[in-house]
Amino acid sequence: MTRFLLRRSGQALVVLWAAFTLTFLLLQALPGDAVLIRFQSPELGLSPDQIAELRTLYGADTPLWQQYRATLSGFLTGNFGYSLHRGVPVADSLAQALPVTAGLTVLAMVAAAGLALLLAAVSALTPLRWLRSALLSVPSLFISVPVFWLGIALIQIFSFRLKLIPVIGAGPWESLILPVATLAVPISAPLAQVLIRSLDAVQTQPFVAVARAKGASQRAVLWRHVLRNAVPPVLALGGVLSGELLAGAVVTETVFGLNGLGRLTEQAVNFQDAAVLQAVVVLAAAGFVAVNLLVDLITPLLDPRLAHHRSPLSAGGPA
Amino acid sequence: MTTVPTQDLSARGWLPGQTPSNSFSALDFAVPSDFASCGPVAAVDPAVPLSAVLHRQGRALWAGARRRVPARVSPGLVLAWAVIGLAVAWAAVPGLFTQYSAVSGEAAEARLPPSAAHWLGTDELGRDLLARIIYGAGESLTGAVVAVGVGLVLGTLTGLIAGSSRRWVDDLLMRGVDVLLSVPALLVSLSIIILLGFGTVNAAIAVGVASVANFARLARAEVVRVRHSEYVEAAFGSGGSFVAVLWRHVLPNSLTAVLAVSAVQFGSAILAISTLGFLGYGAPPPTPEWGLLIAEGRNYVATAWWLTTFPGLAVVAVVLAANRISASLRGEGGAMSAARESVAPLLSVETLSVGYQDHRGILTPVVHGVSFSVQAGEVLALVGESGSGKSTIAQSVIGLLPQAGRITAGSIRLNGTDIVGWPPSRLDPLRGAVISLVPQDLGQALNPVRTIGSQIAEVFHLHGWRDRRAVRDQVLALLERVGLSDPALRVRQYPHELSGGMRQRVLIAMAVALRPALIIADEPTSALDVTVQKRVLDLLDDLRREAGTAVLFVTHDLGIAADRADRVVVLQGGRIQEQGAVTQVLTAPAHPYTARLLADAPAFHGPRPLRSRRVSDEDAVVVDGLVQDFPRRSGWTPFNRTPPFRAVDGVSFRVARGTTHALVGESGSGKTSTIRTLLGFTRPTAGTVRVNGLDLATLRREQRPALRRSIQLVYQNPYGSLDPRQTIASIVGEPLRNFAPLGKADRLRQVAALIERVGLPQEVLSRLPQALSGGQRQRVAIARALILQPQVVVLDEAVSALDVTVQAQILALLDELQRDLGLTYVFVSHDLAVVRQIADTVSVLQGGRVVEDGPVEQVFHTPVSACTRDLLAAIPGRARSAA
Repeated sequence: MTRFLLRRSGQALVVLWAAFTLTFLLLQALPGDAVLIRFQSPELGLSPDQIAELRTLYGADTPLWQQYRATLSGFLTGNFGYSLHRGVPVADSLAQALPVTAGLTVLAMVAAAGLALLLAAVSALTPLRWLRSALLSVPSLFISVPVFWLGIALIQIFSFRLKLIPVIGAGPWESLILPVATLAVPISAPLAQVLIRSLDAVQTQPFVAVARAKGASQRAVLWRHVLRNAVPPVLALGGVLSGELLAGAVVTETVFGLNGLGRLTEQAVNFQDAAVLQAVVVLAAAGFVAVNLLVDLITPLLDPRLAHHRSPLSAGGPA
Repeated sequence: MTTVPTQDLSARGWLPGQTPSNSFSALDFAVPSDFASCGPVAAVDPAVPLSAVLHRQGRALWAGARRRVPARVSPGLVLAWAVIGLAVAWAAVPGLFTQYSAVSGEAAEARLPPSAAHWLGTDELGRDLLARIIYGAGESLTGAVVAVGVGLVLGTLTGLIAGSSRRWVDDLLMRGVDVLLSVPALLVSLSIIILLGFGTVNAAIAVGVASVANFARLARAEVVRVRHSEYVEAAFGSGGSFVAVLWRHVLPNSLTAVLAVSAVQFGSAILAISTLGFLGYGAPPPTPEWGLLIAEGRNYVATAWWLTTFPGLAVVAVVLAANRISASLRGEGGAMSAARESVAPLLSVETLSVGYQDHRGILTPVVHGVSFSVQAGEVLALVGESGSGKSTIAQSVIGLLPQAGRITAGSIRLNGTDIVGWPPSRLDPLRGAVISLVPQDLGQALNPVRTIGSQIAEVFHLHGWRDRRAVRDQVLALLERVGLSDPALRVRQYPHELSGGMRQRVLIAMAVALRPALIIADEPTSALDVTVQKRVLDLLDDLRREAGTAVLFVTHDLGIAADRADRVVVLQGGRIQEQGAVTQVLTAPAHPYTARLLADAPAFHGPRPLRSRRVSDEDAVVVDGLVQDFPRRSGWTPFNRTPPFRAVDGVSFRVARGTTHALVGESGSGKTSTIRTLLGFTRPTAGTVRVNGLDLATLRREQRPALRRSIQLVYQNPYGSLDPRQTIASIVGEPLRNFAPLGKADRLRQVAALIERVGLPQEVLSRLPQALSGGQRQRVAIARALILQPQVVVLDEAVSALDVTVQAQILALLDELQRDLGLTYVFVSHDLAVVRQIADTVSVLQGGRVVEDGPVEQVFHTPVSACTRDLLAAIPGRARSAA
């Protein structure tokens, strides 16, 4: 177990380093020089000398590998550099934005899991054929809805039409309801799809027939035999989808005007603020890797066949 | 890809057999206990990696893609294509659909709600919203096409290279893909946009790059899946080069899956591009891009609802349509699972008819007016070939027909009460207590995530036992009674920690736990080796006698029926052909079908008359002191500390030209490893192997074609070894393409002649394998092996998967071909009855060593090793055949 943990953590670090390097090459080595873009504008009235000085200050004139070394050692010590746009340390911006986004995404994941379980359980147990087929088509609808449009539609319906949630002056919890719903709906769709499919697949296994032959009722079989067998694929998918949460947060926070990581990302792109975007990418990768490590640790508890397995690097999705 | 060297297939891991985990299932290394004298050689950790579970899930998803779907088009699919068609038409000729301009409008008409003039209303500049959506279609569709194109090309290339390259290239590429997957797709896109700048095309490229990982994983998984299939191995075995196999088999068989994923990615790309447009990174403002329309309308969300609603609906409609089309490409539909079982104690079945209803409600009858009864304490065997309806009858009796099954007429009386149509709530108390079931263990009949103990205890709990201690005592006693050593350990173990025979004992323990009046045993031992089978059947017999339980025995094996049953019911095509006492039916069959079944069952007649063989002194195959080791791989560590696994340990035998040599042994005895070496798939670790004078240990690359022409293989499974997408003509002709520079016409002539030679009609040439029966497929596989005119043919359990009647026909064909063409056979089997029919000489293997060899008659009549005697004693129906 310890060896497994050590190996997986080592792999996680390699992934993080690779993600860092890739984004560094992509963002910091790009032809457009962020410093020039920021300060060249004539309105600022900076002389070429002053610009050169600023470039030295930001380290933009050193060779690439030196920049890489400096940035990497900065990241290792928690110094993510300076935001060109805001002129403050990136770490400060992140620290401010993180709690908002963390709350939003964790709540959204929980809501998505609940929604998926509800859909799957009702469709597995209902004796009504029409209800089952209606429920089965819900995930494919959810998956096709643009997140930003869903957010706007929810505002339109619940805030402006029904006036249930005030646009301005809502309490801290009240103001989270619509963003969480917006973020949870598209995540819940693939979860529900895989859970339903997984339940169906397990239901056709011979051991289910054996259990029925022993005299267990349909519901008893579902709870006692089927569910635990059906969960591991869903868990693995949940790990993969956790990466999408931050992407969803970019849109959701923009629509609802929340000042979290997503908003920070959006602004960073607008102002070509490479340092901020790089920090966000590495943070997202770290979160993703951590969640998937957790999933890999939980899965063997559910399925003893996986107890000593040689795990692939990433739990991965259904390939 | 073309640079991959081709001289040693096995060293690259192209063929299963490189590692034990590939070439043997976990079952092959079962835990000792059921093997008194023929013990297995090693225990192997059968843990299933998560990736395998996921892969299986994936397989299930894609399984439908290879089914030929009859021309049935659902209304939803038509609608989906209509939506995509309309969007494409809008994109191509927007002017046809609206008279308004997309970029200019009357300021006086700003923000008008939907009306007759402006169907969807106008925006803040008075522009017609419908016109802007129509013109925006071009922007969205072009973007999506570019994105999918970028992802498809880059991703598929990556996956193909990874899936077909050396391990370190594969690892490197796929770890790179993992890194890409660990960053949210949107962030990848945003990073690329920072690099490229804003704009629709740039956004599309960014979205495409972010989807590379999906395509790469899919392409690799498909390549790996297809390359481990038997038909790809068969293609290599017939001399195909790497590129040829990739082109002929791997690409066509992966195409549907790739197209399906492309369709999904098309939908996702539309979503992603509109998201980027909404964030302002796509097209600049006057452009009518859908995401941008929503962003602009967002400012008026309180007053002009139509500005955000309609563009959003356009996006949803197109994405839904793309996903629906993708689903139909994957062939998703409610596939009904195959049946399970049942029968009854003190049971009387009267004029029972059962049918299966398809999704359109059309009923296909499979059982027609069947009547029989089972007395208390009696053993009744339901015998028939697959498709005879025996399992369906069994399922009806225990009330576990698949969802699609319908009892259309007749009654099933249990102690005089008709239970047809009883709801589950009434049947549940009977199941397990009055009727119980011993299913065929396919490794799946026990819940893999619960312990043995808890699964046996469940029977007691379900039927009202509350005292946990009493239940525990009962479970331990039961385990002991069914012959499992160390019951206290077993209750805590999981099914995967037990061998197949042990699992079958656990299932029997569950079935007898409450001393039911009737046990339904549905092919309870078909998956087991003969020796294990005998012990399990003996156990079932003992338990039955102790408790006076009746047994309804479902089997296709007349030998088992003869040994174990009091009475026999012979089924064919859902109708009873004959029933009566076992002695009467099997010694003096009244119905021609029964007579044929009996004639075909090898156990019921003696050895074939000696053929006048052209026995030459020359040996076609010489194996001398063959040793075959396999490295055990342990994870990522480059240092291999585990000692290699020795599958073959000093095996020697010779096969004279024109004769048949049989390799006999239980699974795990080294049969498969030996023939893989013979075929040149693996290099011998030590020892000499000569085929037709070619020394395999020192075989040079340029000698490989000569080996391929000398020795060919016929697989056990005629379903897996034929490419499902190729016609019979191209399957049989493929080996010729690898060698002879023949014209197409010449090739077809040779194929047609050979197809006739193996007794198939010419019409099959243009058919696909699915259209053929198992026996016909095996004839095709034989034709493919023979087309290169090899001197030696290896038959790997070549008739084991076939019904007895078909088995007899194929054996006769093999015999005839051997006489006419002077072929040498190496015949691998665990079925001694078959071996006695076809072989001249035999080697009995156990634990990788030869424990006995010699002429068949000698080995059969005066066996010297305990293992051989066990194998002989285990032949079902042997006692009767002596008569």
